[in-house]
Amino acid sequence: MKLRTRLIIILCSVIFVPMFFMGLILYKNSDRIILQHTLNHLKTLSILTKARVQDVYDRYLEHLRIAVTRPSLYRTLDDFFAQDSPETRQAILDILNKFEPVLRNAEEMYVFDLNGRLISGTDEYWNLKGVAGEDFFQKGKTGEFFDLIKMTPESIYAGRVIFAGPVVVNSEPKAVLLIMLNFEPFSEIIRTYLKIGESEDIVLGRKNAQGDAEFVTPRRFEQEKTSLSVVPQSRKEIPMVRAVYGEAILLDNAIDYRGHRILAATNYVPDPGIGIVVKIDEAEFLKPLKELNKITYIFGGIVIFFTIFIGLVIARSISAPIVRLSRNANRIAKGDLSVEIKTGVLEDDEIGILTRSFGSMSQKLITMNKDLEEKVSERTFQLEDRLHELERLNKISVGRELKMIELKKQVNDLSVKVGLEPPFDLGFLKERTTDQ
Amino acid sequence: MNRDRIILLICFVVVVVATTVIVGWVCRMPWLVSVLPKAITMKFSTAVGFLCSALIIFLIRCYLQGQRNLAHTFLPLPCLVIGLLMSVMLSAMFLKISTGIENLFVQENPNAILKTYAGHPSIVTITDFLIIMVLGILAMAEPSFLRRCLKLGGVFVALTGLSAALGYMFNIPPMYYAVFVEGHAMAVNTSYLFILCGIALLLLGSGPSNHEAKA
Repeated sequence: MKLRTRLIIILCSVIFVPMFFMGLILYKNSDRIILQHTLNHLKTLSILTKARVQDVYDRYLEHLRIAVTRPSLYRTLDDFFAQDSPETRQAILDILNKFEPVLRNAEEMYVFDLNGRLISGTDEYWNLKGVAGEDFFQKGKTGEFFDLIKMTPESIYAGRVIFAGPVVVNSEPKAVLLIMLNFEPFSEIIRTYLKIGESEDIVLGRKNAQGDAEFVTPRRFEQEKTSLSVVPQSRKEIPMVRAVYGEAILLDNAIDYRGHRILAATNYVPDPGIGIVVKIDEAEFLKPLKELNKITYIFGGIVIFFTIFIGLVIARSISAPIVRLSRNANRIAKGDLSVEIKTGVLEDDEIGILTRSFGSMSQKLITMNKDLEEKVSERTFQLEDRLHELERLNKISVGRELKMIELKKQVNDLSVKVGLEPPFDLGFLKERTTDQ
Repeated sequence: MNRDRIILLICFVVVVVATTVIVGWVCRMPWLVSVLPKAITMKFSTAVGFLCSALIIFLIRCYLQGQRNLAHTFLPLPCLVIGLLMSVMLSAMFLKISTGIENLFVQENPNAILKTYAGHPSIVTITDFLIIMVLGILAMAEPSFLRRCLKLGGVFVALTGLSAALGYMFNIPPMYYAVFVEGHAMAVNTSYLFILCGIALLLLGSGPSNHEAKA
């Protein structure tokens, strides 16, 4: 693997891994802090809503209790039971009309006898209908108070709150008083938004006879076709189910009546058994984080680009002198001593020292090579000289010898001619001739 | 089967198991993260730790076989990942602060018999990973005592894993660190992987000396 590649991989690992970790920690903590903050707001709002609902409910129940214990009501009822006449009925109606200014938002009031027949009322509706089968009558007859909050469009209860209670005379229920209020007091509560967000919503609900959760207040996004008005009790992921069963919790992974993912705080008002859900869409809560993500990706991308670019430059600056040095060393090893290693302006680091040393070593090699060549040529010249001299001496020696042999031959010939023995043995000449 | 092949096989097994657990956490498949439905799960961070440990063991093996360049180039990455991840977890555990990393992909089985602090590996798990990381760093520093350190580290890691495995086998909670710090127990699959990693480190440590490898 090339040195430059290794340097880039190491630089990138050492820079990007800690960056990634820091980014992840910051993101997860931002997520957690924003989530906690939002849930705390929702919790506060749910507690406030609970207090207000309880207050409204207690107030109306108190008014009802005051109304059913009014001595004037007892007296007029006594008069009615003594003598059923239009005057006695009118007297009861007058008393009911006196309650109206006290019971703000009261729309109709009725008094029924224990057989379910209307004694007197602020309108004629119940004149023709019997109430013997109605829940409120059954409960009122036994001496219990009854309340109902219903928003569904059914009969006369649509958009109404009804309170009913027994009128007790001498410890004996004598009649049942029914008050019907409009829903304005509760609607006013849920219209108080603390501006946590655009998708913030407060909804109230109750458990119906089947144990399912039923919404009793208008929902902010009710126009969506998929929204539920009754939620089966099996759908625990929908906060209203948890709320109507008395749970006061924070949920960060819930689904609302539209099927959207939400953050929610639930609460419960035991009397009258109303569940409260304060919620905000998860998409809205995640919006700042998405913004943060966008910024992180853009600037992260820029940082990564510049880091890689500068990493490449740094890797190149570190590796270039080493690569150059290794190339020159390779050429020298192959015998090319003409390589020039620049040692002029170099750093004092290890690479600079290595380059300078290598340059100096290369120069010395060249110098040594030159000296060697000079010495070799000098010696060659001297040897040639000696050779010439030897050749000359050889020529002279050989010449002399030949001349001597000639003279000897002549002496031998002359000796033979004069009848003497040849004085010189020239037999070697014959041997040489035979050899040749 | 020779020593080198055993080490490679161990690395392969650890990588496969760790990757399976990671996929299980990311894709929310509970059967991939826990050996038994009610058992303690191997955390996402532990699985990442094993992935990096397998890589460290493989690179130490490359270094001891003379491939120094490869080892020195790639060892910083897994060492950094383990070092950052485990030291952050350890600090968060002792300082009792939440960094958010321990909850990455975590969804503890609500029926788990022993609940760990969601997302936190046990202290012994963290210690084992840090030991493996230190061995990786030592391999980069090339000390003469590397093999001795590999043997010691291998013994420690294998013993901690073995203790946990035996604890599960004989149902002795202290042996799988269930009472060491409240809620911090080692998962059973984690213990087996540590045994394998310990064996791999021991095998690395008992090979020929550095000088012979370099020669």
